Amino acid sequence: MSPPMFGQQSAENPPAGSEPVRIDYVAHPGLGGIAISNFFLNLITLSFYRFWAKTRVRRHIWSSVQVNGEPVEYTGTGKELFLGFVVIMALVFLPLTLIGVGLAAYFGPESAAVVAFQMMFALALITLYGFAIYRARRYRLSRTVWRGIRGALPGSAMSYSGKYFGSLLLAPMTLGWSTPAMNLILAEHITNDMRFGNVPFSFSGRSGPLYARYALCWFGSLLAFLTVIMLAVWLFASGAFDWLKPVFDAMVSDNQASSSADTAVGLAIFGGIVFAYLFYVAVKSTIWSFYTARELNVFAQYTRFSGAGFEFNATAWSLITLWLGNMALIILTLGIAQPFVEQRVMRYFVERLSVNGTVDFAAIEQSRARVDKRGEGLIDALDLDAF
Amino acid sequence: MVTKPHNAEFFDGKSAMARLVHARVMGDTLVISQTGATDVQWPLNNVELVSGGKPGQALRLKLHGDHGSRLTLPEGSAADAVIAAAPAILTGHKRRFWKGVGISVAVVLALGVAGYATLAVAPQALARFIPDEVVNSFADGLEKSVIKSSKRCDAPAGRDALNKIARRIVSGTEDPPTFSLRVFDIRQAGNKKLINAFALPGGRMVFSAGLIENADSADEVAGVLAHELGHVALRHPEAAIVRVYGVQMLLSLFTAGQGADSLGSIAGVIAVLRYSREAEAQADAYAVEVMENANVDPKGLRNFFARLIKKNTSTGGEAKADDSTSFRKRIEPLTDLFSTHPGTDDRIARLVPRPGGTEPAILSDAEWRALKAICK
Repeated sequence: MSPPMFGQQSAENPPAGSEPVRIDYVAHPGLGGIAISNFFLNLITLSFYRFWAKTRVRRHIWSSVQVNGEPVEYTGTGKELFLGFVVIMALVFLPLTLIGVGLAAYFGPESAAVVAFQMMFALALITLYGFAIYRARRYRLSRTVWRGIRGALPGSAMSYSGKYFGSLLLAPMTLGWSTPAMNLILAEHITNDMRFGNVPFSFSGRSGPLYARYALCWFGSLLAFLTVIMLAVWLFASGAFDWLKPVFDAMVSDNQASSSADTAVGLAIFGGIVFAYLFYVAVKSTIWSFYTARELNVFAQYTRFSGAGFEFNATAWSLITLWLGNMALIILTLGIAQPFVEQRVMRYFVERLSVNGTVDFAAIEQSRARVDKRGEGLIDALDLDAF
Repeated sequence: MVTKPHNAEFFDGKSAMARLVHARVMGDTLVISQTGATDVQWPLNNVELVSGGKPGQALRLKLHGDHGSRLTLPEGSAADAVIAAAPAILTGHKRRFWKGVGISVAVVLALGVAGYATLAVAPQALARFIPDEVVNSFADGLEKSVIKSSKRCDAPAGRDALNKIARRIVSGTEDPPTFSLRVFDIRQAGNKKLINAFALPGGRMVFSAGLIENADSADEVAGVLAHELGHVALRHPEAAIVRVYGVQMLLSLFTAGQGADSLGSIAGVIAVLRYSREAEAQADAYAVEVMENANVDPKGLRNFFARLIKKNTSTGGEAKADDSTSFRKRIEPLTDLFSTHPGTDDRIARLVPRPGGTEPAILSDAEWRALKAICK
């Protein structure tokens, strides 16, 4: 009995053991204490406690998710994350750093060899992104247990990594228009590899339905960009920034007079970069929420598990308020409330996800995929971790 | 202790099917029995809490080391009975918490020790093993940062006088280190003349023209030279190379490879050329010994330091030249001798003048004037 066949059959005529599926977020107390103690322990251990901190937060949040009344369990440990970090440091970053230091020592710190090495280093890191994401997903699935059965992602992280790198290359080449198609390919790849026990998830569908929203957001962003440029030009022309000039001059004259022109240009570039980043974040989290909502909903529709289909009810406005709330939480508590941000995100996904159809849970057997002993070293090192 | 059987829900870890079972405590074992199957036995001291355990909550349990099976006891008497038989189940998570804290604190302490070794012990020990190519390429880079586009001061008569001082300084010392000595007209911000001397890796010494112009006698120049020779002999510049790379390596452990090239910057140069108080004291001791052997009065070095401190204080500079912990001092460009040679007050105390004053002069008056004019 091949699992996809099984899924199609049960949609027609559910076997006797099939149950409808209901997912709830049932908050329970304790996260505040975890947040505060994690914060201080991270502080005194120069952030080396973070592996155990993450684990405690996940244990709490996972156990608040109930599927048909039975809580989900996170079985990962801080030690596994820590060992993942140590191994990546020892096998990847330390040797590469030693090579870089050796080159700098031998050829001089600003030599072509060192520059070339640093560029290759950066490129190598980018090619590792997809790999890191896939391996982190695998670790988390293998540590997610419900009714004693764990998830799995037994596919090849390499082939996913190739597709991911392709999507990173294509995005700038197509001015972003490859994004919906590539996101679909990536979601298809990783979802089709996902298992609960021995039963796979499946994903099929086309990226066409994403493009209307994509176009809307793309031209919306362009419009926002042009508006900001014009506004800035107009403000400069009308002298709205004149009050900054003395500040600027004071900063410049603090440095050596000979390089004052350079300093002014440098400051202008720095200010421009900061502003461009803030603008990017603002546009990404507001205008692009319209696209993100559409993508979440469409991808959920494309996903099936056994006899069940998924429906997700994301809206742009709810994503924006989720983001604004998270930003406020982080800023107002200086980051102490980070676990609550993760809780809000999990809650958002759980509460807006509904499952239609039924699943024959009794027929699901334990995963036989190999369980890694360590996890997430790479994603931690690359600082890609987005919960 | 034997309890009566309680109804419970069991997942066997092989399928997601829920099984209704009876669970009971028999001695130190939790026995899970279901109709039509053999009993499952869990040793109580290996049972771990999944969730629950507070009044009003179902108690979810698993067996340590077994990744699948789970037992859920309903709230009330069933849960209470198991907790009464094995209260340690409820404190397992505390043990886990303290284990995590313990490991992470141990890691930080270990890194602290590694960091201390990198900064304080390893560099001096490893200094002699750096290949010449590395030393030279490093010295080239440092030299560039120190002299920038300064004019080389190389008037023949002045150079001869300087060589004479150098020969005199090493005259009583067996097997002195190889070194070269050049003078550059190094300026700092505002075109002010820099008063400093550097011992770069590979025995390359650089004196600023300002230092020679500020000296009152050949004894003073000789004292500074002896001191820098101490750095060379004790391989302090080479140790600094190891130190800088070690710090970079530790930094890259925290930042995963980023921020690994601060070498070209001013802060990097200062970090290399700025020696610890211990290193300065060692170089001073070496200088005193060398001067004794060469029959040169350490008073020269003492006077030079003393005058420099006075000058610093009167121009509104920092009153104490040995303000070695100040952050400003660390990032400041190479303003004067004390930006690279900290800890001067106590050092002066240790430079004891010789009582006699019978030493032969190092340079004649004419030679001394020629040295003063080395930049002309």
